[in-house]
Amino acid sequence: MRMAQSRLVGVLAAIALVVVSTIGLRLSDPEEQKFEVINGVVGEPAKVNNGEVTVTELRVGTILKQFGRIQDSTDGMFMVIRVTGAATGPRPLELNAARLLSGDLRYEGYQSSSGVHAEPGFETTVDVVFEVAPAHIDDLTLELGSNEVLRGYQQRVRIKLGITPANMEQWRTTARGLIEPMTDTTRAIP
Amino acid sequence: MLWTELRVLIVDTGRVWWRLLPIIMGVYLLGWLGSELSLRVAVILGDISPWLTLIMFAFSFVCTLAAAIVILTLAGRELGIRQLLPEDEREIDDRDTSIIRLLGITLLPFLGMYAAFGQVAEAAQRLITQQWIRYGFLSDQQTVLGALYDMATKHLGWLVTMLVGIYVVRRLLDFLAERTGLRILGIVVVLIEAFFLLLVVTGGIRVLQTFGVWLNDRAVMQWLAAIKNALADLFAVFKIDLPEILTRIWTFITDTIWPVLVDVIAQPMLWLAVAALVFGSRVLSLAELWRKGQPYAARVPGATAFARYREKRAFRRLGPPPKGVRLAAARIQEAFFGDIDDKYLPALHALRLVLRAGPIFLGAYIFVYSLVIILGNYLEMSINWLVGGHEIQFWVRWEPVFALIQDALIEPVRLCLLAVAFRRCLELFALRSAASTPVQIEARPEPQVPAMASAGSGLRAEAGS
Repeated sequence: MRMAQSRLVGVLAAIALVVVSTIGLRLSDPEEQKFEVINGVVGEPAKVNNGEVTVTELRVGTILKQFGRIQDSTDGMFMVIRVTGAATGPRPLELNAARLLSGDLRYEGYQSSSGVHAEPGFETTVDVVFEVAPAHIDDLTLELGSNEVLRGYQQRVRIKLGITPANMEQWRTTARGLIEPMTDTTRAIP
Repeated sequence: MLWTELRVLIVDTGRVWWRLLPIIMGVYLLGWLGSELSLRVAVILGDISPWLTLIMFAFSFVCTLAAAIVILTLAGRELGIRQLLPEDEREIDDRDTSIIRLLGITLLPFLGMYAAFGQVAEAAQRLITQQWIRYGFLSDQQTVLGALYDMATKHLGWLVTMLVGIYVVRRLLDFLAERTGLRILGIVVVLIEAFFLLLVVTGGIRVLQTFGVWLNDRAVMQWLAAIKNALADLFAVFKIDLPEILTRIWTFITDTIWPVLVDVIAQPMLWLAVAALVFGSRVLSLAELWRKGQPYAARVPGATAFARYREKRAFRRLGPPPKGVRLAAARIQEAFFGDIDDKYLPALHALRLVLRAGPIFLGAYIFVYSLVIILGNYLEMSINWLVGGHEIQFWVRWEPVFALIQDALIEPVRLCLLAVAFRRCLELFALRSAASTPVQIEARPEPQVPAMASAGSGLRAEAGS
C-alpha cells in the first residue's frame, strides 16, 4: 500500500515537472521572438538600420479607384496608408513587406500592394492599400519588414494607426465612397 | 527524493563541467572548427559536383559528433562510470581503446538524433544558403538540393542502387578494418556511413514527398474524401460538425500534445539512451543486470541485450560450428545482422533501460534537461537583443560566430548532464540490485559508485524502503 502510494506520488511529481518544463520551453521559445520590434507613431519618423520610415496619412473608403478607373468595391473597408521611407544610410532601405495587425488578426496588403523601398540618398512615398473587416479594426497597427527568403533576426517597424475603441465607429462611418491611392513618388533627400 | 535527484543532476553537472571546462571547451572548439571548415569546403566543392558537397557535408557532422563523443567519454571518465566494471572486464570493449570504433558504433544513433530533432535540416539549410549566396537564386549551377531532388523524383532506381552499393562497400571496408586493424580504414568507414545516412535522410525526404504527391493523385484518395464527406453529412443530421471536431482534435494533437511528447519528453530520453552507448556495452549489460536486481556475478557472456553479436551467437549456438555452404550463409547473415546488432539495436535497448529508472528520476532529468535548453534559448535571445535586428547579409556573415558563443556555453553542459544522468541511472539500478539481493550485498556492501554529490543518505533510505 505504502509502495503504491509512493509510486503514485512519484508519477505525479514527474508529471508536474514535465508540465513546468513544457511551460518553460514554450515561454523561452526563440522562434516566437525572431525579430526586433521598432515602435513608432503616426507623423513621427521611426529609425531603422538603413534609414527612417514615417506614416503620414490614413484614409478609408469602400470603392477603390486606381489608374483612373474603378478597380474594386468592398463590403468591408479599404484602408490607404501613406508611408515615406528615407534611405539615410549607405545601403538601400528595404521594408518591402507590409501588413496590418489587430490583436491576433493580420491583414496582408491588397493584391500586390507592398511596403516601401528607397535607394541610398533618396526617399520614396507610397500608398499601401489594405482591405479590412470593419468589425476588426481595433488598435490597428501597420507592420513593415523585409521580405527575405533567408532567415535572420531582423527589424520590423510597428506603427499604431490611432484607431481605438473610442473612435472606431467614427472610422467606420467615414469609410464610405471612393478612395484613390497615389502612384509612388521618389525624390532626393534634401 | 525528488529534491535529491534534482540536486544530484544539477550539482554534479555543474561540478563535472567546471572541472573539465578547459579540456571540453578545447575539444568542442576543435569539433566546431572542423565542422565549419568542412562546411565551407563543401560549398566550394559544389563547383565540381554536388555529390562531393554531400560527402564533405557528412564530414562536418563527423567532426561535430567526434567532439560530442570525446566530451561524453571525458565526463564519463571523470564520473567513474567505467570503474563500475570489475577489473578484468574493463578493456574488453573495443570502443574504449579506439575513438574510431566508438564513432563507427555510435554514428548511426547520433546522426539519427540530429536528423530527428532538426539539426541535420538546420545544417542542410545553412549549406543551401551558402550555395545560394555563391551561385545566386537563379543560377543553373546544380546544388545538393537540386541533385537530390532530381535523383529522388526522376532516377529513384539509381538512388536505391546507390544506397545498396554504398552499404555493401561500407560493410566490406568494415570487415577489412576489423581484420587488418588499420585505423585509416576505420575513418573511411565512418565517413561512408555518415554519407550513407545523410543520403538516406535528405534523399528519403524527397522520396517521401514524391510518394505523397503520387498518392494524392490516386483514386483511393478520392474514395477516402467521398467517405469523409458522407460521414460529415451523416453527422450533420444530428447537428454535429464532424470536420470541425476532427480539425480541432488534430490541431490539439499537432500544436499541444506532439510538441510536448517530442521536445519535452522524447528528446531528453532519446539523447540519454544514445549517450549511454558511448560508455560501452559492458556498462549497459551491467546496468541491465542491476535493473533486474541481479548481481554482476550473474552475467553470462552473450546473454544480455547489449552483448556483441558474436557473443550472442556463441551463447545461443548448440552443437559444432557450421561448415561449407552453411558457414558461408552464416557469414553473410553475420555481416548483415551483426551490423544491426552492433549499431541499431543497442540504442533501442538503451532507451528501454533508461526508461526504467523510475518516474522521479525521469521527471527530474527532463526538468534539468529542459532548464539547460531554456538557458540556451535565453542566451540566444540575449545575443539577439544585444546585437539587434539586421539584414540577412549581416547574419550570413556573423551567424556562425553568434551560434558558436551560444553552443560552446550550452552544448558541453548538456553533454555533461547526459553523463551525470546516466551515472545516476546506474546508481539507482545498483541500489535496486543491492535491495533485492541482500546476500550478495554482504559480500560487497555497496556498489563501487564514486558519488560526487552527497546523495548517499538519500539513496540508502530509498533502498531501505
